Amino acid sequence: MANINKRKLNFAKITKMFFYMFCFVLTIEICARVDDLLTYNAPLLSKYTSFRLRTIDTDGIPVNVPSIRFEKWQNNRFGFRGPDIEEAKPDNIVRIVCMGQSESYGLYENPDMEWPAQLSSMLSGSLFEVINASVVGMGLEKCYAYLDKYVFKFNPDVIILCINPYGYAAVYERSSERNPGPAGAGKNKIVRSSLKLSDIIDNVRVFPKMKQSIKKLLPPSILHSYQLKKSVSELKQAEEKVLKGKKPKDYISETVLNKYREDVERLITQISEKGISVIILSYPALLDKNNINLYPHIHASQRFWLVEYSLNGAIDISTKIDSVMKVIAEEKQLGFVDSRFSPPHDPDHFSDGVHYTNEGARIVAENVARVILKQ
Amino acid sequence: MLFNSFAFALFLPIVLILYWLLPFRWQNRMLLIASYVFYGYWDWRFLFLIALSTVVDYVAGLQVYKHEGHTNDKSVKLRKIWLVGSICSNLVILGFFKYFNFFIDTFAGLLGTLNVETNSLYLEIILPVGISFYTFQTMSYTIDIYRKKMLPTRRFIDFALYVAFFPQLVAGPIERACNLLPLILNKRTFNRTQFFEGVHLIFWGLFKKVYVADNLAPIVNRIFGMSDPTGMEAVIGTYAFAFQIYCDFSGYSDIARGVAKCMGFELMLNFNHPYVAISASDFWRRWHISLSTWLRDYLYVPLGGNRKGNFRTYVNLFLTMLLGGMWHGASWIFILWGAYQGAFLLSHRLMKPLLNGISIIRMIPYSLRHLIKMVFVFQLVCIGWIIFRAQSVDQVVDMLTAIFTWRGSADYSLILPLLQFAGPLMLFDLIQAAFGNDELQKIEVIPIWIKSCVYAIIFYLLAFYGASAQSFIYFQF
Repeated sequence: MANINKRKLNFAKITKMFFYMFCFVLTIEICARVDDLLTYNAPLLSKYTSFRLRTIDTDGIPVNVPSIRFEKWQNNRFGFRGPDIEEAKPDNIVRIVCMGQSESYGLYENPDMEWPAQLSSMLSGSLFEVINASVVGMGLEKCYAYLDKYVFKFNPDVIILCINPYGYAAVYERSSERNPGPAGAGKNKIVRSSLKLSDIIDNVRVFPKMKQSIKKLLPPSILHSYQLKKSVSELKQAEEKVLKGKKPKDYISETVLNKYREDVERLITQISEKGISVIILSYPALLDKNNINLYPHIHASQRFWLVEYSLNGAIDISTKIDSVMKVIAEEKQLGFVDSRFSPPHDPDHFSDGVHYTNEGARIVAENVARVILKQ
Repeated sequence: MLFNSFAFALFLPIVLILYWLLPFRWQNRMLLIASYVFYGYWDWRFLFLIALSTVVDYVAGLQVYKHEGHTNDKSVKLRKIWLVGSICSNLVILGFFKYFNFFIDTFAGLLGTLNVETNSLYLEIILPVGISFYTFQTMSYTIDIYRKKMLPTRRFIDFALYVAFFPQLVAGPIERACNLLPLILNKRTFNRTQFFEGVHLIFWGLFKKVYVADNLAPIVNRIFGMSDPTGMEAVIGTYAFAFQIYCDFSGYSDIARGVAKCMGFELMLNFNHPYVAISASDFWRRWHISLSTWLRDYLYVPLGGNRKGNFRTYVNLFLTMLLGGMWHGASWIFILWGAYQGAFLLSHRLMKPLLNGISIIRMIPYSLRHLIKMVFVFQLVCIGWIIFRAQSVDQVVDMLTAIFTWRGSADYSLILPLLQFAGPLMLFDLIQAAFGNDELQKIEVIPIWIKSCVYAIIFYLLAFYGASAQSFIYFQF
């Protein structure tokens, strides 16, 4: 009898404890939702993640959702990041469209500090209007349709192109086994192992916030070693899945280079035919021969997206593709901004392998502004 | 080591686990080592200074006691010599590290006015963190033995722990030996209620420091860095600093009390809702209680207190506050602040009978009168904070001119961040003040699920709106 009573008492205690913990967690979650509502005008009850910023349209083109906001990221009524614009180009205005992926859309920079926004403020007072039409994760193969459907109607005078060579090379390698050429993009896409868990996490607002807070709190050495460990383990899994025992490549093949050149030239022709000037911006990269051993946690994370290539392979891609872009620019007499070396390759200018910090974005914007004003 | 740092977040659980696992004899030894690690984490060289202060007062305490029973002249003289020796050695250490450059500068300035050229002897002296706190603490030990208020301890380790007890080593509360030493000497037992009260205080202290004080710091720094602030900016800057310094310092004290409670020690209350004070003396009964009572017992009372007539009382009060100001730092601005606080106390004493005689005042309902007094005293305290925070007398004049002439346009948007960071504190503080002095016991009766929710809100504000770790203002004193 005494034992039964004791068990009942313990059960009641444990239940109470769980109830108090539940109250604690629930209150934090409510706080997070109210906070989002007050700060970002976010919905109180429905799912609120960065996925609301982007979608795939009926033609299968990735686009930004118009008039939507997620935390610091705000799309205008045409789905471009930045302030609202009129569709009809105002008279005597040079309209510049920046066309890139996440590095141009802006991930880590503070609001209005991504390079197109900084470019806009640098050119303000003159007769320029800068539109940031970048879409996170947009591959070169979708650019043609995207420009046709969403960009040309704004009658831009200049389009600044920043094309991700790593994504192109990785997609080419992955699709080459079944379907040569980048047309097979996305078929063999690698999914991070944590994505399964993220379905649950996505619905709880406080988890991503906690992650950010813990990151801020941890000393850099501990954070970096954790990131390295996590990235290495994810990379290992991805290598097993994709490489199947093969070694990652140390260089980019001529075939990929030639195909890349062809595709870029096709894009430039498509733009030039509309009477629009093109400026090519080389793709950012923290990684170079001098710092290959300096930031292992960043490099390992970057390699996850480029499993088929080693770090030397990634350096080879950026070097050779940069040269290709330079040649194209020279041949076609286009503006060329070589941003590969102007923001120094360090964590003050790069938040990760390919995304700028505020300061990195400022340097890129300055370089672009110089080329535009020169033209 | 900062309480609001990652290092302390690792240090404290390790110390607490070891502490409660060890037998009593080893608890104090471990705590002494932990305290030296805590202090040495900042600069190990200054551990020798604490050790020196410990040895001097340990020996002095025993010697003073040794000659206590004897009534002959020699013994009386020796007792005095040991006491004066202990006080002087402490004051010499404090004076050298804290005031040397100030006195040299002042002396050179004086000679300069007499057209005597001097080669400035300015030394690059690092001010040891918390030196004013632990020297005052050790001084009180020898003085209390001399006054026969307590017996000295022969256990050196325990006395060394009293001097270096890490929760209150660098920014108080300045504990009296008669309060803390018996707790160190006697066995502590784990008490669940006391432990959770400690956790509550740590949590609350962190909220004050990380959410309120550290978020107000940029506003204060910006406004006090302006060369020509508007009236509105000066007012906001002043109020923001009033809450910053309160939350910074009382937050530290709360964490110190909380950590000590988790180990079974009860440290004295250092802040008792000072901004609900209704007079100058009430304010000083609520603000930095451990220092104000120390100054009262070891300075004001020996000077004669209020036993030698009104005039001497006023002089004693003024002198005490002046030295209290100087305790805060070696600069004329702190002396001016001390003088202001002295004048504040004196004017209250002088005005009180006059105000009580005015019948209209007595006609105002008590609660409204109380509220008016509270608001009025808070404004006068804030004027004091302008002096305390300013870099120079010119800046004090400039800030006061901006406020009283309401210079420039009023930008009301500045009120929002002040309310965002100080608002929750004001609300919680008023509720706590309404509970009275026994707020921890009153908190005990609140249902746990409500407390869980409140802690969750505080946790949320700390985690997502807490500013990055900044040092505590009172470390410099």
